[in-house]
Amino acid sequence: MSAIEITGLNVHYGKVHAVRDVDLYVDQGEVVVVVGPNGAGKSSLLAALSGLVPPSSGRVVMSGTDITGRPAHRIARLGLVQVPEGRRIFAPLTIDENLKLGAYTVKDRARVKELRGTVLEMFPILADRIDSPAGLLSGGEQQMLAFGRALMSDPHTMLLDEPSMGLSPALVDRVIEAIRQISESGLSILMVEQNASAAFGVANRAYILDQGEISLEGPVGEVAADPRVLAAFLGVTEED
Amino acid sequence: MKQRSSTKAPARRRALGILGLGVATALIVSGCSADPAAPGSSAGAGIKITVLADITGKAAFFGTAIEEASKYTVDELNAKGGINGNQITLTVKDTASSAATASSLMNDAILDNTDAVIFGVLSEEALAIAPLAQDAGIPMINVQAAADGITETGDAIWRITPPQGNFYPKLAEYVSKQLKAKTAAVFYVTDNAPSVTLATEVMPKAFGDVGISITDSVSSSSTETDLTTAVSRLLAGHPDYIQTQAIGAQNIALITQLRRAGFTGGIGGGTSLGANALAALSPDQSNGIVYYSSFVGSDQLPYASGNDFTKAYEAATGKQPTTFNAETYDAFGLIRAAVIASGKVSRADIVSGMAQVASKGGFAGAQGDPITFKDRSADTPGVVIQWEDGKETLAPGQ
Amino acid sequence: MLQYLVNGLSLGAIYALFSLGLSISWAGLNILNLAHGTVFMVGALTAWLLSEQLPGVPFLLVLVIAMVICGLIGLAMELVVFRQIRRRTSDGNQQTLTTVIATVATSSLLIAIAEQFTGGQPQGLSQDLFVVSGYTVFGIRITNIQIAIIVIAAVLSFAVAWFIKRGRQGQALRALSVDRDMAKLVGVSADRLSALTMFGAGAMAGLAGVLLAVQINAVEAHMGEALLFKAFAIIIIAGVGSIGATVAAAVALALVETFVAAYWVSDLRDVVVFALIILFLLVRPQGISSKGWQRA
Repeated sequence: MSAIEITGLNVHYGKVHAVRDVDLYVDQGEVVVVVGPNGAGKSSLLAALSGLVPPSSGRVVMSGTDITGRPAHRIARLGLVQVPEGRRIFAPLTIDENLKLGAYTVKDRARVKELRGTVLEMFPILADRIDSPAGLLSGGEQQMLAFGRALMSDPHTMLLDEPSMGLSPALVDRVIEAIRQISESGLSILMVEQNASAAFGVANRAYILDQGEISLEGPVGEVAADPRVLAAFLGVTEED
Repeated sequence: MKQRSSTKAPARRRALGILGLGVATALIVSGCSADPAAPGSSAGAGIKITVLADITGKAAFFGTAIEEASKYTVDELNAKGGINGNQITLTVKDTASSAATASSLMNDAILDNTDAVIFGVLSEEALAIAPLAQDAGIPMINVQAAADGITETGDAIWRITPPQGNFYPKLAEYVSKQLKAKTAAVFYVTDNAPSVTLATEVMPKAFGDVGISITDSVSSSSTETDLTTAVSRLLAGHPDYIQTQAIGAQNIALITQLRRAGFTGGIGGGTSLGANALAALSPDQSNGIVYYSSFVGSDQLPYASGNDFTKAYEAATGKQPTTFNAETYDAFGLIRAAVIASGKVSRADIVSGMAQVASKGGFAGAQGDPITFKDRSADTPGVVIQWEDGKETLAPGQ
Repeated sequence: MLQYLVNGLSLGAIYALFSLGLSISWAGLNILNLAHGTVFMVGALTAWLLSEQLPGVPFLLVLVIAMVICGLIGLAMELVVFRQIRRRTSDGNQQTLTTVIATVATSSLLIAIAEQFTGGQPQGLSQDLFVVSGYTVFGIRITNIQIAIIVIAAVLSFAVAWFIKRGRQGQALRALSVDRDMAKLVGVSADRLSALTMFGAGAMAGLAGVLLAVQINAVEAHMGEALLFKAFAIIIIAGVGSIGATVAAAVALALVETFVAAYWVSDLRDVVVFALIILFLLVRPQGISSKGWQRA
């Protein structure tokens, strides 16, 4: 049973057809990357998965449960967590409060404490500044907090939207390292990225999304070797 | 009168008024060609009187009183053979306490060959419709509507309510002689022009004339809900008597808090106190409170025409007549006197008849015998009313 | 002197009770609720209607019923109006503006209904509903209703401050105010929390309405309007959403008003208040508390 299985997904924003007939799956424990240029429909795809935008047609099944069109907070309670583009940490709240909110769906207090321990161990910088407002963290630290907040929900599947965006190369490496760590703890991960070279380093399989449609898919090695991908995504480094 | 929302919509009202005027003009033009009959006719042909009153909206309490008194008065006059042999046709319309509605109804009345209009009560409406009436030459008699600039509109515009300033000498005399007060404090609201003038000019003069000194004059905005500090300040000078020129809910709050604070001296107020506030209070808080008005529903009045009205009104309706009932009755009385003076019932004849009535010393009515006029406004001295067990009574010693 | 301090404190307590709900819905849900004063009036009106219809009804019961009714009005506004506006517009500014206009419309509607009950006249509250008795302590007069108002406001202020700072739903509400979509992504039911907040804000306004009605012994359809403007002054001075600063500003404003009215020209109190607002808007537009929910 796949962690996520999408069939025939379409998303419209008014008259804009952002996602067209997308079929995609993520197996248990896999890291899957969706690569595409700006405006290819990557964020719309994630928004439809996490319930922020209702799909116009198609099916989203998560670990055997059909979650198509369910509201975001209900999907979050089923163990699907999203780390959105631009981190979107709760800036005025403290790091501690951000983490507590991450665990909003977890009822078991002992489990929350356990998760908090794991997260602070994985990202020690957060422990050092636990009571300061999250907005005072640097960009890289905020990304760590966004991961930490996501992990606090005790998820089985994590959606990552452009995790390397706006970060220096050294920090991108740190982020990729964090994704690897998270994956090794057993989570299934679906990430969308413009920065293909960074993403390919950590993923098992890749999809190329172009103008809302999947144009290529397969194991990372094959996709990365495709001449079109080499030209379009690996020849240039995009930072924004 | 309540003036609270008078600042809200003058522009809109004016716009609607102009629109109404435009529509009315068009109708007049088309109406004239269709029906050349001019308004007014000879004796015996009937007289058409339109009452525009605030039957709903914020001044509904007063409008309802005007409506009831209008029906009573017309029944009474028609039963006696009408005015100079003319049976009265009464039309009552609800202005909904809105100047725009009042304007359009006034235009209807102008087109409807109405001989005279009685209006009550809000000044903001009267200011909007008085020019319409004056232009059409239709006599308009205002009940309440105390603002400046209404009767000044022209010779067709009259007021049957005397100015509140008239009543102060009587009130001062009562407070001095009956309540034996030597000192007084006054509370007033700053956003109501009559309240300010009465509290800061009229009352100090009238009270000073009878030897009562004013200990403090405390003011507030009419929307202020916190009166604890005003109460503390009013009581700080230990006055024998406290006069309130507040509006509506503030009167209730002020009187309640004065009594709760242990003030046992006299409390008094203005015309609207009885209707507006005292009925809402329990008897132990409101008994003995005095206020001035142009009339009280009593058969102990010092003039027969007032006692007759009270008795007849109570017999016909089962209710004690209020100031507003009496003023409405007298508005009809003025029209009647004017028709008798001029001998005819056209608009112009009633207008000139009213001037004759005023110049010849007035007429006998509910508010006085005679009810005299000054600058087209009734000019009677009024009475002091004492509130007892939910009823208005004539205060002793008048 | 001390007398005016007591008067100012009890006025400040009413201001605080009224302002807290307005501040929370403004900060948390971005709803500038211009009907808050009207909901307050409905609380007072409910107390009057109940005491008229059911003589001898216990005061506590009246308090609870008024709070529930006002809470339900807040809830209904959220369900019928605000939620629909949020669904139909995604543009934040458009939402804010439409919401404000909708609250004005709701307010007018409620006032019109209230006037049907009051006949457009002020109404006095039955003296049996709550027997007000005064005490004189060291020359200062204080009534039992003033004491009740001060105690209730103090307790509720602490409870609300705790709820917003530490409570699970309070934290969720702060998260919602920062980033509504992100809050949904961590599992917060934005709709349910908005409904809860509007219910709470309405109930607190209703509570303040009943208490003030008892203190002034009068109910009138427009009685909430003046208070609404005072609450704006308080929130501007305090900073939107900061509970402690709101309570402090409420008491400070009430004391300033009271002392201006007591020792200076009494009708200048509003002039002073609104001059203070303008001063704050110019000098410190974010309010006393820089830790507003929207700012780091």
